[in-house]
Amino acid sequence: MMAYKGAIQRGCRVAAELVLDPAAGGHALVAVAYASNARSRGSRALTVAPGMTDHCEIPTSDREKGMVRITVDLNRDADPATLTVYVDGQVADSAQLAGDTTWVYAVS
Amino acid sequence: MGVRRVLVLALAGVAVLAAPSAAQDAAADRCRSALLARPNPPTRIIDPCHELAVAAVSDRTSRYWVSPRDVQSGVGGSAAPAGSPAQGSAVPSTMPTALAATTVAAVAHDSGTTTITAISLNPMILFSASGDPLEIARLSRLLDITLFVPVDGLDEDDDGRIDYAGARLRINLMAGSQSHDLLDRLSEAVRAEMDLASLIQPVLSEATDPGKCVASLNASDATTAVVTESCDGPLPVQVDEARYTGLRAAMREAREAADARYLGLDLRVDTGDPVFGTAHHAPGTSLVAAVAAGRRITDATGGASTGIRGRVGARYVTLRDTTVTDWQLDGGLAFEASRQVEDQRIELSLGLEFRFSGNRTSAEVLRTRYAEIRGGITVPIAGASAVVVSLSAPIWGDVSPTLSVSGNWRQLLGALSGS
Repeated sequence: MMAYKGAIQRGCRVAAELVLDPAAGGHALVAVAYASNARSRGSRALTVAPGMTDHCEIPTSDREKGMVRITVDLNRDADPATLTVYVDGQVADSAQLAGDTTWVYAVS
Repeated sequence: MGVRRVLVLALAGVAVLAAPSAAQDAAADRCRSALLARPNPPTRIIDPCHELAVAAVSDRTSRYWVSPRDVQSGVGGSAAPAGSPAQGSAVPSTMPTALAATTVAAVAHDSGTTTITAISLNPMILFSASGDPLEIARLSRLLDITLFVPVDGLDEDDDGRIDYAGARLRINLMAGSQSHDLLDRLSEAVRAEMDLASLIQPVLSEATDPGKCVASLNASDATTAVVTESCDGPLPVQVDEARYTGLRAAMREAREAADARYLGLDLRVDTGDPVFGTAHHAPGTSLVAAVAAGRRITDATGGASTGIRGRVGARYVTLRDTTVTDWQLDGGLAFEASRQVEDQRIELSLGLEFRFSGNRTSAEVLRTRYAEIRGGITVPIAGASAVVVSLSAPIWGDVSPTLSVSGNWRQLLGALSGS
C-alpha cells in the first residue's frame, strides 16, 4: 500500500518505528529516505526481528523543501505489524499494516 | 500635482508587488482544493502546490513498486541444543532466538531413551526494562542463551550431581548489518522523485485545475495531448522504472541478509555424561568455541530455498574421573532445503559432522575421532511451533547413532512486544 500522508515542517527529524508481532513469519525491513530540491539527501534502513520494535530516524534540511519516503517490507502480507511515524518526537501517523507499505511526506 | 503623482506611483507599486502574491495565493488555493479532493486527503498542508506535486509523483511511482515479499525467506531461531543428542538438524544455525523458544526432545541412543528439554532466551529480555522495547530491540539480534537438561532423570546415578546439562551461546556477528546498496538505491529513487516533483510544481501552480492535471498525469491511458490540455501546458514527466526494479532487488537482498545469511560464534559448555552411561569415565566438562556461517538462497518464485551452513572450532575436554584432558577440532558442513507452504516452512537438512584429536586411546570417552552423517526434517505445525525429527549415524569412529523427535515452540514472550 502506498499513500501520500501529508506535509511536515522542514528542519524536523522524521522517525519511523516498526513494531513487528512475534507471530510474523520473518524479519521486516523499514527504510526512511529523504531528498530535498537542493540535492540534500539521506537514508536509513534496518531490519526488525519478529517480536521486536525498532526505529530509524533521519533529519531534514531547515532551508529546503523536499520529500520523505518511508517503506516497510514485511515477510508476508499477513504479518501483524504497526508503523508509527514521529516528527520531532511527536506522533504524526500510526497504523496497523496490511502488507508492504510506503508512506510519502512532503517536507514544506 | 506632485503629490498626486507620488500617490499614483505608490499605488501602482503596491499593485505590482501585490499581484504575484495574489496569484500565488490563488494557485495555493487551487492546489489545496486538489489535495483535499484526494481519496485520503492529508490533514497537514503547508505549501499546497509543492505537496500536490509530491503526492502526484508518489501516485505515479507507486505503479512501479512491486512487493518483494513473495521471494523472501522466513527465519529460524529454535532452542535446539546443538551438539547434544537432541540436536534437531545438521550443523544447526547460530541465528539467535528473537525472544524465547523451547524444545522438548525424545532421544533414542545406544543406552536407551532420554527426554531432553531446552530453553533459549534472549538475555536482553532478562536485563532490559520491559518498558523500553527500543533498547531491547537494539541488542536483541546479537545473541541468545540455550540451557538444556534431561528431564527424565537429573541424577540417576545418585552422586549428587546433574548427570548431564549444557549451555549454548549463539552470537550473531551480522546482527544489524544493512545493505549499503539498498540505501544508495533508495536515495537515488527518492532523489529522482524529488526532481520530478520540482518539475511538476510550477506546472501545477499555473494550472487552472491542478487536480485535473494530476489525474491526467496518473491516468494509465492519458495521452500527451490530454495531459497538456489538462495542465494548461506540457508536463515534463518521465519515471525511470529501472530505479524501482533495482530498489526492489536491493530490498530483497537486505531482507535475505537478515533472514538467510549468518556469521556467528557458537559457544558450548557441557557437563556430565553426554553418552548417558554407554562408556565408563565419560562424565566431564567440555567447552566448544566455533565460528559458524550459513547462506540460504531462495528461488525466484519465493517458494523453495536451498542453503549451506558450516561450523568449525575447537573443543576442550576434561574428564571428571580421570586426569585426561584433550583438545579437539570440531566442525561440520550441511546442506539444507526448505519450502514455504502458505504460512509454514518445511525444512530438510543433511550434513557431515566430525570431531578429531590425536588421542586414540580415550577416543570413546572423549567423544572424539569420529565423523557422522546427520539429517533432520522440520515440519511446522503452527505459525511458531514445529515437530523435528533428526537422525545421526557414524561413518567413522565409535559414537552412538541417535534418533530424536522434538517439539519446538518459538517466541513465547510476545506480550513484551511493543510494551
